[in-house]
Amino acid sequence: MPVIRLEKVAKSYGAVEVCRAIDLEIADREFVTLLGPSGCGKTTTLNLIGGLDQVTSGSIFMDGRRVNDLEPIDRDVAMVFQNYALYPHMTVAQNIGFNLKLKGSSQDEIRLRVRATAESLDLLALLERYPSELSGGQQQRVAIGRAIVRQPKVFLFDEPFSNLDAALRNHMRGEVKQLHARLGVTSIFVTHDQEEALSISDRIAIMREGRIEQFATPDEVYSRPATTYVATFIGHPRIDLAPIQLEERSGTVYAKAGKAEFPLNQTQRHVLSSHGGQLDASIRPEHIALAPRGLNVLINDVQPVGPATLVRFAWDGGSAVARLNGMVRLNTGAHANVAFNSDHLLFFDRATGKLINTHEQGTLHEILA
Amino acid sequence: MVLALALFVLLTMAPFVWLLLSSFLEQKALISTPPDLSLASFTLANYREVISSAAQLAKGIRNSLIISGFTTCLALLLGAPAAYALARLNVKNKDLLLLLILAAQMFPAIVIVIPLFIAASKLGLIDTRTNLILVYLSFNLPVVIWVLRGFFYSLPSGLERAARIDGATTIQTFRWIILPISLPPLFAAASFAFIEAWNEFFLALIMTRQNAQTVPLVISSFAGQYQTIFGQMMAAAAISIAPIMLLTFLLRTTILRGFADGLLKG
Repeated sequence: MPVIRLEKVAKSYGAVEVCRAIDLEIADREFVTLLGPSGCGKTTTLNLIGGLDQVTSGSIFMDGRRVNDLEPIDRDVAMVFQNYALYPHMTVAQNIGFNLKLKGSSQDEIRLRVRATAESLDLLALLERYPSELSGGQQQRVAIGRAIVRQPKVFLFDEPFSNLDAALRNHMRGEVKQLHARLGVTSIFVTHDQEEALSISDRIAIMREGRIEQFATPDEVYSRPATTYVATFIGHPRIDLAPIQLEERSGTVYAKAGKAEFPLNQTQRHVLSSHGGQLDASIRPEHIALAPRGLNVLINDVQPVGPATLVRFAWDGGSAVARLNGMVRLNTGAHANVAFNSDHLLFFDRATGKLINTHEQGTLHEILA
Repeated sequence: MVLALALFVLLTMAPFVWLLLSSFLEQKALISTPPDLSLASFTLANYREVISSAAQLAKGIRNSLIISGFTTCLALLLGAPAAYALARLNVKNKDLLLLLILAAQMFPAIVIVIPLFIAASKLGLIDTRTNLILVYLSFNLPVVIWVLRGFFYSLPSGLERAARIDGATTIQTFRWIILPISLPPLFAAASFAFIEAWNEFFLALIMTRQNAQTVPLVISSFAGQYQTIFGQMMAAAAISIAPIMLLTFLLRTTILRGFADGLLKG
């Protein structure tokens, strides 16, 4: 049974629709990320789930109970905020214990649980300090401590690491992941950082203009993006789309993007031939390689990034970006020959922007392996 | 810039300097033209006189302390929650209420003193401290609400949201989170209310006879029909502003921060 269910949840502020008919089902103990650019409605969705904001229409269920009108405390959720929101006049211990105090727990119980929480977050030495005496990372750990001390049913994270520097962000990401593994509490995490989303989530809901564009595992949103929006939003570097046409020659069907020709496999051929309408195609950078007898392309940009080199190129009829292993010596403005592994091509309906499923069932994991 | 500020300080300080100076001068030296500022005419006699006939002044100070103290406490007790509600909560007709509160203190005292006097006398409150407390409260409360509302309005909402997640009710949030972080503006509002009540002359003059006389009235009594003993009057004034000076001096940083928070961001 899903622990959290959103049914046609919408939220407007005046004439501005921030969330439009969001449907979402989150299972018990799942770690779900809401990912999208700023202004896509992900934080609003989180606030609606947490009870800090009221839905305009639709329903939110937790454990089968409709919770639309319940306060956060009655929904049994805890939240970690982007700006930490620690109480500046309270010590670390008081900050962590405040919700227990409100609940009416005894002094002894508060002390015990605050200590246990602080120990698990490596905060014991800081218990008597004030928030202003802590670093950003320490403050965020206190905020997490405040959330876990009361053992809630759901954790909500609102871009908790976006104020931290890159190294610390990576470290905190690891801590949250371990925390989730240890406590097994259902968690919803909001971020605009796709790397963060891909690295910590069981499933990712990719949002755009108040709607969920795709809700799937990190593998799936990367290798089988539901729409062109997801395809270009997820993955670095950003991939290009090229318009294609199908052409049959001596028993083989090709997808043609100008000069480039990609022979299609059985499944692709079957699905695409029966699909009416115009098509776009794309491919992830790692499925392109240099090949002496491949397509001749013009190199527009070369970016060595250490373990790989990113190469943007174009030909008459399309453009793409390749991720070549190691440091490859290529010059901008020069020509090179490349080959595409056409089994990995992604095909989209140009009118709707939706993915056309050309993967055989069950082949995804073989592909990833 | 520095020069302008220095000039401003000089201008505002001059009356105080003159007050202090004349409190140490003999009457004869004071009323001669020009005043005789030679060392010979300096004396502590004025202070001795004022303190030896201290019964009146002491009563005035006690009345003023009680009246100003109660006015200040009540203004904060009522004003702080009102200001918070008007700044942060969904209150019906909020704008109208704010306008009314502002309008309430736009009437000069002289306009409403007669109705106030009649009301007070019907209630049997003439020449009581209770009456002055109520009257001062009605003048101070709007200002306290406006100053504090400006501060509460400018607070980021993060702490309230965190408190709500922690399970705090609105009143608990106000009591445990908002009030403790609002000490500077609370001090500023308190010092404003206290000083206003302490210094007020006109209403006290109309509303009291003997029992509830406040310090400014006692000081003015040194001005008689046939002669005014300037030196003693100034000495009494110097003594009466001492508590305020002390208060302001001790809390100066807090008060400054409070006014900056409340007024500038409001």
